[in-house]
Amino acid sequence: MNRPAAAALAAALLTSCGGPLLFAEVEVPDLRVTLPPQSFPASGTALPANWCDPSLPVNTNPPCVAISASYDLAAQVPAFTKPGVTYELRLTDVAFILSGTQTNPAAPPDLGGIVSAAVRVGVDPAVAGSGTIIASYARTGNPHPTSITVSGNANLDLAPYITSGKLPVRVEVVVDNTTPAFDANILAAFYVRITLDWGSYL
Amino acid sequence: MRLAALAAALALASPSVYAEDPAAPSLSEAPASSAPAAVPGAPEVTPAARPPARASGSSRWGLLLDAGLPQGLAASATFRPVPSVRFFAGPAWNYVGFGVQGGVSVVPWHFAVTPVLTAEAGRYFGADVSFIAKNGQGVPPELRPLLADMTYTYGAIHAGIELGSQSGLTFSIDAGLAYLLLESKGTVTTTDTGSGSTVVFKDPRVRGTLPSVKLGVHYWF
Repeated sequence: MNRPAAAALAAALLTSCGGPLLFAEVEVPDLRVTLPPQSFPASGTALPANWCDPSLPVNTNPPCVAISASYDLAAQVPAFTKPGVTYELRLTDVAFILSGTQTNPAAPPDLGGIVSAAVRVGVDPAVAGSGTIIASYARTGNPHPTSITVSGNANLDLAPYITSGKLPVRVEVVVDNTTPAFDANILAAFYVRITLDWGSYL
Repeated sequence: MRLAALAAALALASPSVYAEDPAAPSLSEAPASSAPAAVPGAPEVTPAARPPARASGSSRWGLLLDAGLPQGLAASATFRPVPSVRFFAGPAWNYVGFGVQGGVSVVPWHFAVTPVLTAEAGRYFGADVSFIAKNGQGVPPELRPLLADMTYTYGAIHAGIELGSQSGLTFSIDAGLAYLLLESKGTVTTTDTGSGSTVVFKDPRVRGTLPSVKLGVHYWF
């Protein structure tokens, strides 16, 4: 084999392996995030912004309460928004713990009116029910729970849902009875891999 | 895998022709006048009884001292079973820790200026590499405590030249591509007092490729 042919073979083998030739990569197999509580309004909220489908004139049958939040991942990991950086952010575990905010011992919080709950990413605000569900809950035996857990194990790559380092999330709760205001404590686990193609700077 | 593929291709590209080191004439070419005079009563030394290590006119064993990036400083014992192939291994030091390293070189022919193709690998134990998290180098500063005790593994392929005698002292310069893997075991918890969020990192790894260069001094006994 002559040298040009060998060099061509080497280049072909290198490119066939995929990925940049000159790179730096950080991988965190287990990254766990606990976010501060998100406040949910009571089921009787009069704010259309808290209705799952604000286009409806009256939010009834079944009532559905929603909140939208945007988590600034770039604030935690600035590399997310650097040029030449690609990343994989895979959700491996998630739990939204909904707990009533009433503190009166004589009237403990009752979340028994919650029929179901879902946490979505990639939601189009103009399309009701759009996006991908990453965690869900359906009411079971306890008629008067004081807290419920909306859990999931989606193993979902969140990178396509991140824009400018921010991940929009929407939580929707369907109720069939009066529900008090409550807090949503959010725990999530991720697999993170950030790759910098530093050869592109040359 | 990428490095192994390139190393294999480079090895295939190297000529299989081997020429004797002109600076070290073979025994068969040595002038008769240089042969030791026979001593009466001494046992006769036949060519077949001579050490095979000298069959090609140079030693099989040597000592290599080199310094480079990302290998660090290394001292290696070298062995060449055949003139065109040599193996080396020994301890290494890179300012932040000690390790071991080794590799194989292909020397397609021997002249005063000799090309050398090398594939090598090494591993450092318990090195402090937290400096790579300084000044926004792409590694989150939160990872710094985890980088304080990391294992450091590398592989590299080099092409270079050696100047000098293949049966004595040579100086070498090599350049190529290196692959690095930094691994840490442990957990770090950080809390953002502003937002109240808590982030826990566990067992991070850092890897990448970068150009590699190495200078060496090689002595064949």
